Amino acid sequence: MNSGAMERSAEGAPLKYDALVVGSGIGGMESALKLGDMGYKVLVIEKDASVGGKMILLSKVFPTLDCASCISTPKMAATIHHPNIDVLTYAQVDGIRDNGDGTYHAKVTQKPKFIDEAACTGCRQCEMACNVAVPDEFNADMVSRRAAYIAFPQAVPKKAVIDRAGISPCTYECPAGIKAHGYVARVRSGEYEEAFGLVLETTPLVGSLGRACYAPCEEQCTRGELEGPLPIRRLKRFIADTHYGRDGLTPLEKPEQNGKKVAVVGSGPAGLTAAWQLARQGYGVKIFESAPQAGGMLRLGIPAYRLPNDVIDDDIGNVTAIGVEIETGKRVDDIPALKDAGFDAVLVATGTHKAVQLRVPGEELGGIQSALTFLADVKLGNPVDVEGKKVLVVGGGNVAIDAARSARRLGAASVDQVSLECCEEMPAHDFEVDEARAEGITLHDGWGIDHFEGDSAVQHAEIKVCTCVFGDDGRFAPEYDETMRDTIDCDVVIVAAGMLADTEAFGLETNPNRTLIADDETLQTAVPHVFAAGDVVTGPTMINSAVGHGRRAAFMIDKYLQGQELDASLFDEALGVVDKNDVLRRQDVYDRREPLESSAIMSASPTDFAETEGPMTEDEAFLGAARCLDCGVCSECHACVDVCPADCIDFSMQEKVIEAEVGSVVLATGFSLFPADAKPQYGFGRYKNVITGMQMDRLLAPTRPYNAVIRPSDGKVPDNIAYIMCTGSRDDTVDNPLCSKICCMYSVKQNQLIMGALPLADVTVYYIDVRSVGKGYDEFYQQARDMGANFVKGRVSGITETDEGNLVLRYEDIENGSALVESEHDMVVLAVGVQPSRGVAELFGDGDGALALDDYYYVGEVDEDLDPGRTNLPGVFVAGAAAGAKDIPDSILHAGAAVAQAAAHLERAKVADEAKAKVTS
Amino acid sequence: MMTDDTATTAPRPVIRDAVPGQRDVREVIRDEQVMRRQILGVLADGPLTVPELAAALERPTHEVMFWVMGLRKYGWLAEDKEVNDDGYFRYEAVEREGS
Ligand SMILES: Cc1cc2nc3c(=O)[nH]c(=O)nc-3n(C[C@H](O)[C@H](O)[C@H](O)COP(=O)(O)OP(=O)(O)OC[C@H]3O[C@@H](n4cnc5c(N)ncnc54)[C@H](O)[C@@H]3O)c2cc1C
Ligand code: SF4
Ligand code: SF4
Ligand code: SF4
Repeated sequence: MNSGAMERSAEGAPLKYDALVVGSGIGGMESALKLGDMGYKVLVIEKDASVGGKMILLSKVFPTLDCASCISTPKMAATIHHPNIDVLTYAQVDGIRDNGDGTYHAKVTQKPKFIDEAACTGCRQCEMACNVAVPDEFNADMVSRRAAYIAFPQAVPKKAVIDRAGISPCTYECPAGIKAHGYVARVRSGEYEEAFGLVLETTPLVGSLGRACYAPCEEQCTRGELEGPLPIRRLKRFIADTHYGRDGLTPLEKPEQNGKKVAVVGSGPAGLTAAWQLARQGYGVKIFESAPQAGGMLRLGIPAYRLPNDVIDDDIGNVTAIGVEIETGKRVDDIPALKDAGFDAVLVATGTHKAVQLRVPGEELGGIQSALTFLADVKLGNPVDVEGKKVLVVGGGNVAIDAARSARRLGAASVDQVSLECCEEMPAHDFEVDEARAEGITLHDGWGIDHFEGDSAVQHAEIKVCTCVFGDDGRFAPEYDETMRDTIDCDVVIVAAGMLADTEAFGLETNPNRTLIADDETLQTAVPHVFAAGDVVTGPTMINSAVGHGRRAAFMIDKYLQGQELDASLFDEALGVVDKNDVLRRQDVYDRREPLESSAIMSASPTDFAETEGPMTEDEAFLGAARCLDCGVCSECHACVDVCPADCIDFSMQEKVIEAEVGSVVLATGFSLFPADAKPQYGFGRYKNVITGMQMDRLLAPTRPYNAVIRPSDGKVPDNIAYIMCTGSRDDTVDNPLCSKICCMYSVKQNQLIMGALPLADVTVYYIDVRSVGKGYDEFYQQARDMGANFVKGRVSGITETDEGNLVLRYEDIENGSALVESEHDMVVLAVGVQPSRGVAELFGDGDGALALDDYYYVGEVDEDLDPGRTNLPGVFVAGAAAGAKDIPDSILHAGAAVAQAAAHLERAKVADEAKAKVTS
Repeated sequence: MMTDDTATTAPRPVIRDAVPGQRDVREVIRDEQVMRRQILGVLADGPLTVPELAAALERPTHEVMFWVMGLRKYGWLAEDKEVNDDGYFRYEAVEREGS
């Protein structure tokens, strides 16, 4: 709020004003200023980011040809700085309720601007850096604006606003909390390093996630509702490849130490991410890792054809570069004891590295091993003996698939895979099952192991048909058809039947399945300085969830070590996800843009661990990112945050609901313009050089969208412009019999301005009759004729477009025997009329307190001629074009009438109150 | 404020496969970020008019208008003072403020 007019009230109690003015166009500003000058306290609510309404966007005003912004801006500034007026911009009135005593209760929502208005200097740096372009409604959609924007150069307040429709589905869906839309937008702008930096804000594992993440973001991508989702994961791989592949990388800076130490046990995605986040905040972090190399399941589980070791090295390099120490080959058992070793807090992120056993006869035979051991050996380069052997893999999950495909690469003679679930129900992703099959793995789905046989080493497995995997309660309880059996010969069996947390030695509370017990929100265990994150808490999940947990744990540990409350609400974004249907409805038509084909190169008999998926070329990345629909509008790319010199961007801002008691209401919501495409015969929207009167006013204004009056189709200076009057006015075919009052005069104004700006241009006006009623208006019209504007009395029935973008008008030439005539112009301006603004009546609801509209849906006045401004509701008045089409002088006059009515109402109430007070005393 | 000026009266169904030359304004404008690099690349050889630029990019002139005007608004391009004999301004790449 701008000033101190508001009567401060007790915490939570509604604010008190004498008048609520809804809308801050010339009608609203005039009303507020007059009431304020009379000493009344006024609250103005404007839905846009600036006050000023339509007038501030005009070029000049008729008939004086004064510059619209020169006469508007002083009023805008006066309104916002008036000691008796509070203005809320970017706010909406949700409802106005009659208190029954001539006063009203208003509920207003202040939408978050995501900018600290007090600090914003209006420098526009955010806007210049922003990566999202949307149509500029303040320039009648003729040019772009940015998601971060200042409405227009003379905006009051001149403060930026960030346009956020919600969190984009991709970002919302990411369990890691990566700003997926943000990095996609950065790639689209060619800002690859910045894109990499944005992912680093969440996790150091850019390359690993770019390869091995299962990309739930893509499943939710709105573009998936059209031709298919964006390659969001592969774009991350692209930015990682680009970053790590660059020569002369600038080393990451080591943050200043804060003197506190944190131990992280486990160097998987959860541990590495937490360590990274904590170290960036100045904590001294040491990771203890029992395996010989860091990386957790990235290193020990995921095969190199999906995630090469050098990528893991690069990612871990980020963590060590900022000073995190990693001690490998160091198993920690007594967790609480780490405190004695000097650590202020401990994070347990040890994952699930214990294999679940099948518990079937013969499991102890030689040649049978767990998939975890097998995969770790392969990845660490330890000897494994499968070459020429018949390999049987047991399990239907991703780990089983990884083991089977690895065995294939190591030269196994055959690889069979047995899965309890049938193919469609296997926990492995469909694409992985398909890829495994393409590589020659024989899948026996819907079978389970009965027992293994062999002398000392396994020789074959007897399998039986599995009829059901889970019991009614959803728990694992397989049932078999004991009569349907088969055998599979095998020399090596790799079992991937599940994974357990190995937590017995920790001295911490565990669940029956051995996962650690930690608070869901804070991840704190029963031992206050010990936190736990990742699969050791959740059971086996995915890299992205572990990263998300790691980040949360770091946030909570920081709070804990600073002695602050562990408030989970501060960790999550307050904004909800944007509705995909709302996103799709923003456009009428979508140009088909096919998604990128998968680049996986599949071989029927792979022989090495080379990556199956190829890198993206820069062009592919560019085209991939270009398909993004900017669902949330702002992408959260943080470019604005990076450049804002006042450090005033705050994405955590939330909307505020404000309640106010008001003595009167002035509705000054103005008008809306006739949608020109409702007259399809004129081709607006299809023919690029057919524009509306408002668009021409913008082209003529000093803050215009183009550098001059030029054609939208090709930038040519027009030399033959036509005006079609009464578009959407006095026209029963569009249900509007009314004259719009302003279109004749604004066209005449524009005629004069065009002839001034383009002395060689011809201007022809097709009209039915020119209505120039008002002081000096007819002279103004004559002046346009004298300057050379050609007025043709004729009704235009249709327009066609030539190959050059010129427009052929067919019209009835009324003054020449009503012959049908054609004429060619290189630009056409539709003098669109006005319509009532929608939604005003809804503010009051139905029933007794309903606001009456007139026959044309403008706010109704009980007696337009004798009692202007008064509505059917006592204490509610209407000012300006909300009551019917009006030009600026008439809007101001009408606002004066409404103000006088409101003041009289307030005074009457005061007198009545005083009288009542006298009687009681 | 003025969104209703260019608003359509029709409900907004999702129609696939836009008619050539009739892409949704929102989609064209969204492409400004992608086209920037190409436009600046083409203009590196000297200033061009919108039709010349459109020919070089093989894109419709009215779409190029949106991009050129957007890039001009955000300080990447500037126009020549005078129009050429055919009635077109030429636009050139300029050093961005603060860059
Ligand atoms: C192309 C064109 C050219 C024109 N040229 C001239 C000219 O030269 N001279 C002239 O005298 N007149 C001209 N006019 C007319 C002039 O624009 C209007 O007379 C004037 O703007 C009316 O002012 P207003 O305050 O009543 O409405 P508006 O200017 O429409 O302002 C209403 C304000 O209320 C806001 N609002 C609406 N609903 C809500 C809500 N529920 N809650 C909060 N805020 C809300 C709107 O965003 C807007 O800011 C022209 C009009 C057009 C279209
Ligand atoms: S976060 Fe990015 S997209 Fe959002 S306003 Fe800032 S610069 Fe624009
Ligand atoms: S279209 Fe873009 S913003 Fe929307 S979900 Fe897909 S990637 Fe995210
Ligand atoms: S960069 Fe910061 S100070 Fe400048 S306009 Fe944007 S938010 Fe305001």
